[in-house]
Amino acid sequence: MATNLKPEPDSKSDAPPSYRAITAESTTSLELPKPLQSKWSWVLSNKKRARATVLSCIRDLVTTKKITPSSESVTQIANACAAALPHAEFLNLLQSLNIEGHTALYWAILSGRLEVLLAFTKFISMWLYICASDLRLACMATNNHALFMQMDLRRYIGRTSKPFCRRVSILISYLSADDAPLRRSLDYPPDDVKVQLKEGDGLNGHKFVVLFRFKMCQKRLRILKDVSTEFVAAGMQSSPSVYSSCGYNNTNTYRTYMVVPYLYGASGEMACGDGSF
Amino acid sequence: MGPQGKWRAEMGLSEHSLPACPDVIFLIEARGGTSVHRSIRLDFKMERSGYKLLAPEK
Repeated sequence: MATNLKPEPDSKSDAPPSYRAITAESTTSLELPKPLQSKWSWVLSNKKRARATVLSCIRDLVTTKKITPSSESVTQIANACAAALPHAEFLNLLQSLNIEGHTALYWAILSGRLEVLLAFTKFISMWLYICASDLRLACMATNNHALFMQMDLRRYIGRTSKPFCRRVSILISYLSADDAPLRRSLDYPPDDVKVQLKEGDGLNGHKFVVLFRFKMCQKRLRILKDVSTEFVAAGMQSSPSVYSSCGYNNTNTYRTYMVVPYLYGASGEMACGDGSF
Repeated sequence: MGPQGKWRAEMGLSEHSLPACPDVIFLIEARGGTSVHRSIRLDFKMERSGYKLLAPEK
């Protein structure tokens, strides 16, 4: 049941919104909370401000605890937001750092609004570097390795990409993209990375165990010359006196890290990562 | 694996991570196949490397 929420052609004045454009299935059937209803009618009435109003709707969804629409409503709101703007502009809006220096998706992760995250990410086929970096940060801030894996935010770290160096391209190549041709050829499933927290073990009380399963590891090592992955894990900081003023988690001593294990074929002239950290 | 029949393992922190002083045991095990499996254990200790902290990529 499609909704017709696209704004009408430009009117000559800033007259109140024309509710004729809104079909019976539109805002009233969405059962939106009142703040969102009023904002949504504004979208329809003023095309010039549509972007700002859509952003405001999204901001309310991801940051305001008082507004908790159902998952179905969230999906309908997301669809309506997408319909209100040209596709490229909507994607740009979603992947820009326009809410307190972060993307809306970042705040959705931080506030635990995963249904909102899901509703909006379905429109995105490829991450912009700046957005992906923001989402990686959100996964790390919430210590959410499962979401990190689900969203496939791992970056490819290999010899050709100068390991542990930031890439300069706008569209960063992520693990799944770089690995795809060989994966299709050899027909192996994605690598499995599981993180388990071990509490009460060891001197500092917090340790984690990570289980990697690199499928067809030897073949990939022979062909690609390297395999790598990333994971998000939290552990006890070993030197709290040095960096005690900043912390991603609630306490100063319990930190979240994003770690890269990296295997590669060695030769005499190769010096990958030597002295990088 | 490599031209000299060797391979190397590295570990690092990705962007946004805070510096760390890791105490890591890296255990590599072969899975599947019919050959006899042997595991390799590698210890990453910062004090052995001469560095104080592991920093994320720049």
